[in-house]
Amino acid sequence: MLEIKNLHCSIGDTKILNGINLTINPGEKHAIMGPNGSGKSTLSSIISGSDKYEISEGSMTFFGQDLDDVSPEERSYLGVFMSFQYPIEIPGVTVSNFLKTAINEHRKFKKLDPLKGAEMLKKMREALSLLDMDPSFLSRSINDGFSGGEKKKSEIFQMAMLKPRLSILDETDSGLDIDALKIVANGVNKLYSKDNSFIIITHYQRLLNYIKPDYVHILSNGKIIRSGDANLALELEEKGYDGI
Amino acid sequence: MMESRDNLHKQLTDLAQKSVSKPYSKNEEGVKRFLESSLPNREDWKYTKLKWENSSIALPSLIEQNLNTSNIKEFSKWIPEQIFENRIVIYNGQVLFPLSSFSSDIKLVTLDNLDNEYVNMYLDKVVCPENYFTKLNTALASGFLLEVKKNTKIASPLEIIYAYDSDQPALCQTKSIVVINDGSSLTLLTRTCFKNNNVNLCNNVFEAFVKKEAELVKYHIDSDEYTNANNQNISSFFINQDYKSKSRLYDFSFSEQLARNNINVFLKSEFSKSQLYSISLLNNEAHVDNTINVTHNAPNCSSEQIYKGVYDGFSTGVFNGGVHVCKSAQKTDAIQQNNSILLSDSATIHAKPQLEIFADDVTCAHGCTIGQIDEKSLFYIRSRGISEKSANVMLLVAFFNDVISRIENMKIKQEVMLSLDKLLKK
Repeated sequence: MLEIKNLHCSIGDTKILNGINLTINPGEKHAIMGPNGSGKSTLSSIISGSDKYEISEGSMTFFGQDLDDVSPEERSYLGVFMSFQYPIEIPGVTVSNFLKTAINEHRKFKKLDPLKGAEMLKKMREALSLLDMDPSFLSRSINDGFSGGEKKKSEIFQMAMLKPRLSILDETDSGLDIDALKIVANGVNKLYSKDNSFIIITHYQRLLNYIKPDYVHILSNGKIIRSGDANLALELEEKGYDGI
Repeated sequence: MMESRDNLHKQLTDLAQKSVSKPYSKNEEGVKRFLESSLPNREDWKYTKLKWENSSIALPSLIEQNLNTSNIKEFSKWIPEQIFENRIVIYNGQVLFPLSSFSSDIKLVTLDNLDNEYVNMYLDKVVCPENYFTKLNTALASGFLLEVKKNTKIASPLEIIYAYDSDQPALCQTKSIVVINDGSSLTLLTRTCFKNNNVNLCNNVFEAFVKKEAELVKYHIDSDEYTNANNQNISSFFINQDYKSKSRLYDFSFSEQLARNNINVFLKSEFSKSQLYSISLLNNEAHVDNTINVTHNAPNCSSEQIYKGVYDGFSTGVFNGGVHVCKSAQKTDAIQQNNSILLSDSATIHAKPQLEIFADDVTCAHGCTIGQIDEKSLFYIRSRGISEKSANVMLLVAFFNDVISRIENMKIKQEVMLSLDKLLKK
């Protein structure tokens, strides 16, 4: 599905990624852990198409298609989704309008007619119930005045609506209390299938108790320094980054 | 440059001297006062230059005020469609009665028919301090006084269409006096429309007396459909507020004209409240100068200014927002906010927030920002599959939301949203 080969990138004079190699196949869950500043968020932004960084070396393909010069919106149509660590507030744009616009642009790309209002609402209500959310949520301005937990739930709700093939959860667990964490993890697990994959970026083992990864990678100084199975996260929890 | 400026003054003085018609009783005195005045100080007009100052284009002449009955029908097709029950149409400064209809709770008198009692109570009573252009208006404008009787809430908004139609570059003026008596309320929607492409000098004056526990809400929409880049539009507002009165003025600038808005609010008596909201979405050579003066003259009053502008092309915005809190105006609560987004390297905003506070127990907050579209926000929206163009529109609409969310009338809100959408998608 996603193949990253020897990816190097920088912002200005600062090098952030120093040769990332990562292959993700359909149905796999990969956790990426690493200390602050190791390049985790940069990696997720680059996969999603941020043009803030300069890629100096390496390649990235998605289902065989080179992602170089593919805009963020086109990547979204191809099936890439990122749950943002800090979702943006857009006052005056309701959750339902935002998603309606997004979904209909996806449909336009696939040469489908816009979804009818009633059908859209039905899908939204289904996705909301998955996350134990109230329908009144749809008429609120997106992320505007949301609590930390609501913002993260809103991200997973959008994921449920857009049905991506590759979902990147960038520190979705940070700022969540234990109940919200369970709800979010439960939502993610329900959205999992053998055709779609997840990249879970986190600092803590805790989330991985609920979303069981197939692989765990440790990122340090812009490089994957170790990869393993779910046990690696437990080892990391015990020994810390210095111990590994 | 100075020469062209003097030429304008000379032309306007000639017009005043030649004016034989007397729009209303105080006209003669008004003409005299105007003839004694001199051009406004450059400092007050630092960022706004009228077209005549830069080139030797045709100077404005007095506008013809008669409209043949046979032309009324054609004219009525040209003016904006009526959206509310109550409407007054002004043709070149004169009330056009055949096209005006409104609730019987509203009394309308043209200034030349004003009786002495009203002349003494309302004429030139709020225009303070007078300036060159308000004097010019007093000297040569015709106009009307409208009054809402006591304890009457006018349910449907009243539209006022100021339409100007002239083959020659003209001096376009109307004086509007609005009196809202104790316990009453009125909502106005005003539009100024120009039928030709001349370099007109429009110089309207709007005076309001909002009495005890009364309320005035006024929306003004300048659309590019009815104004043009040549138009030089000076508007002066004087809002005089009594005990526990409220006023709320909204201004939406979507056209390419040069506009100078002089907004003066006098909170004369306790517990009165003023709210000023504005959206400018400008492109090409459009220029909007908002020069505001809110005077807190009594304790326990509140005022709010929210001015939002998005500037593209070579457009210019000026925010010269003043709040003056007098010594006696304790417990004043004043908020001033001005946010601008520049979309092009050639667009300009001059922002000058000014607070003058002479009382010691007050809350005065002000904020002023100038920026660009946030790249992070843009990326967030695009990552959901929304095109860059739609994402930009979304963010700019969100930027204006502080004002949009405060529009109470749904029809007006809808019109504003449609205009924004249309202009932003261009």
